[in-house]
Amino acid sequence: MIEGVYRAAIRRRPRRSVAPGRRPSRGVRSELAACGGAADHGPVRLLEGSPGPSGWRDDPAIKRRLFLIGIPVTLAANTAIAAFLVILLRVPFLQTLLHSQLVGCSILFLNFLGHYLTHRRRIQHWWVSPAALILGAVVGVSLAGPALLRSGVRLLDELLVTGAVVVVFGTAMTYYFHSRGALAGERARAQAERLKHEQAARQLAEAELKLLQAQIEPHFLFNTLSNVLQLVDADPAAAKRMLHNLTGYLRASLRRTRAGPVTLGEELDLVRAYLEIQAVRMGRRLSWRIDCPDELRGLSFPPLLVQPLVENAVRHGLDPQPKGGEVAVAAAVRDGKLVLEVKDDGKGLDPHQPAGIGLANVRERVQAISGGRGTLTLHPLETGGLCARIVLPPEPATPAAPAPGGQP
Amino acid sequence: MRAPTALLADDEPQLRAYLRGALFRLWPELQVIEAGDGPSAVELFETHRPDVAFLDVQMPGMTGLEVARHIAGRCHIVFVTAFEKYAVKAFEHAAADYVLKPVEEERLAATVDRLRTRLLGPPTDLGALLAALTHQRPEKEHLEWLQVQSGKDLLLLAVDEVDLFQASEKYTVVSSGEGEWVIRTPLQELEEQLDPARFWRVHRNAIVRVGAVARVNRGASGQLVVQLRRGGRTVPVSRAYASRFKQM
Repeated sequence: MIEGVYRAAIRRRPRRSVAPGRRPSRGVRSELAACGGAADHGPVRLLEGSPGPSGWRDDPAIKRRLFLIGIPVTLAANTAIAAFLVILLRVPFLQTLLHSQLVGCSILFLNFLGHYLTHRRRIQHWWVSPAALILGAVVGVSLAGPALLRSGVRLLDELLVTGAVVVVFGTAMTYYFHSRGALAGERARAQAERLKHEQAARQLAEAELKLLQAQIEPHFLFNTLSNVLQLVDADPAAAKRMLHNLTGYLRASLRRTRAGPVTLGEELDLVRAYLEIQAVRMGRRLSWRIDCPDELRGLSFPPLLVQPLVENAVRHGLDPQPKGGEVAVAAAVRDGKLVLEVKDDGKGLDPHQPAGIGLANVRERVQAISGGRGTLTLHPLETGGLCARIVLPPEPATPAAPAPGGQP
Repeated sequence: MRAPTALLADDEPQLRAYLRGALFRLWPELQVIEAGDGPSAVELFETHRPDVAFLDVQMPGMTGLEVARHIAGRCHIVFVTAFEKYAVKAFEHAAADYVLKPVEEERLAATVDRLRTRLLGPPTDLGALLAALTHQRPEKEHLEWLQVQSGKDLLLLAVDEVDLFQASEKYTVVSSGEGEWVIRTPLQELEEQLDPARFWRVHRNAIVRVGAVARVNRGASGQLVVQLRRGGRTVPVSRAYASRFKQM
C-alpha cells in the first residue's frame, strides 16, 4: 500500500516541506483536510479526490476535470458568439471568429492560471474569476485588435461590443463552471461521506465477528467441560450451576453479537457468568466483585465491551500468578460520562507483551460506537496490576439510548 | 520395590481431583502428590522423586513444558492438555504420552497400562521435543507498551497507537492521534527496542510508525516528506534514510 501511496505522491505537485515540530500552516492543514478528510478510516487513495469542508476549489481532481471540459466548451461557445455577432452586426466572419476565440481563450487561460497559482499558495480569492474575465478581454482585444482595425472596424464599436459580450457571456460561462464545480464537489463529498459510513459499519461488523470467534474458543469450552465432568460426581449441585452459567454465557455471547445494543445490566450478567465459571476452574485463586448502581443497569450499552477486558484481567493478569488475585468491575457516572473500570491485582503488563487483538478490538468499537468521543485507556496500578477504563460520552450514538440515570 | 508415586500438576483443583479419582480406580497402589502451579511441581518433584508426572501444559508460574525441562529424563512424563492436534502430534512423535482434556477414563486406562510397562525401563528423554516446543517463540521481543504520565494518571500506551517519536534534547515526544507525551527514553534507545518492521527511522530526530504514514511527498527542494494520516503532520526524511522509500 505504501508503494501505491508513494507513487501517488510523486505524481502530485511538489509541496513545501514543514519542519518537524512546527505546526503546519493553516493553508497546509486545510488542504490536508481537503485531500483526506476521511484518511483515518481507510486507504487514502480511495478518497484522494474527495473535497473536505473547505469546498471543491481545494480539490485538484475536480479542477482538472473542469479544465478538460472547459477547453471544448469554450471553443464551441466562442464560435457561437462569433456566429451570433456576424448575423446581428453583419461583421466579417473570419476576423470575428478569430477575435472571439482570442478573447475567450485568453479568459479561459487566465482563469485557470489564476486558480492554479492561488491553489499552489493554498489561498482562495473570490476575485480570481472576475479578474480573469477583464484581463482576458483586454489581452484578447490587444491580440486581435490590429487585424480588426485593418479590416475597418472602429475601435469604439469594437470595445463596446467586446465589453458587452464579455459581460453577458463571460459571466454566464463563469457561473456555469462554478456551479458545475460546486455540484461535482457536493457529489464527491456525499460519496466520501457514504464511504466513510459504510467503512465504519463494516469495521464494526468485522470487529464483532472477530470478537465472537475469540470469545468461544475451544480451550475455554474444554476446560469448563472438564470441570463439569469432575463436579458431576463430586458435587452435582455445583456441576448444575456451572452448566447453567456456561449455557447463559454461550447464549449471551451468540445473541449479543447479532443483536444491537443491550443494557449495561445484561453485559454485567455476562461478565458474572464468565467469572463464576472461572472461579470454579481456578478455585481459591480467583476472587471477584462487580459494583454497579441499580440505576445504571438499565442504560443502553454496546455488547461485549467489558467482558473481553475482564477475560484479559483473568487470563493475563491473574491466571499466570500462582497466588491468583482479585478482579473488580465497577460502573459509575463521572462528569456526566459513563465510566467502566476493570481492575486486577495481577502481574501487570510486560512491556514486551504484544497488545492482544481483544484490546484493539474493544478500542475500535468504543470509538466506532461513540463517534470517536469514547476512550479505552490502560493504567498501571500500585498493586502491580492493571486498570482498564472505558469512558463513554453521555449520549452513545445509539438512538434508543436513554440518558444516564433515567429510564425512557 | 516401593509403591510407584505420581505427581499431578494442574492449576485447576477440580481437574486434579478428577484425575486423582480416576487414577485411584485404575491404579490403586499408586501414591499421589499434587501441585497447583509450576514452581511447586518442581519443588515437590525434588523432595519426593515420583516415578510418573502428569503435567498440565498451561499452568501459572511455569508451564508444564518448562517443568518437564527440569525433570526430563528423571521421571516418566504424561502431558495433560486441551491443546490442538498439532501439539499432540509433536508429543506422539517424541513417544511422550499425553492425555486430552476432558480426560476420558478409557484413554487414561491405556496410558496407565503403558506406564506400568515403562516403569520397568528408564524414562524417555524428552530433550529434543522440549527444545523444539520451546523454540517456537519469536527470537526477539520488541517493545510493545510505553508508560506515560498523563496529568495525575499513569497511562499505558500500545506502541501501535503511536504515530511519531521525536527527539527533544534528552527526551522523546510521543505523538498519537489522541495526544502528545514526553518520555525519558532517548530516541536511539527506543529505536533499538521497537520492531523495525513497524517503526522506521526517517530522520536523526524522528521515528514514524509505518502504518501511520498516509503518503510520502517530494518537497520543492527534492527532499522527501512523510505525511501522517492523523492530524496531517509532516516529517522530513533525511537523505540518510531516503533510500528506504526510493526502493519501494
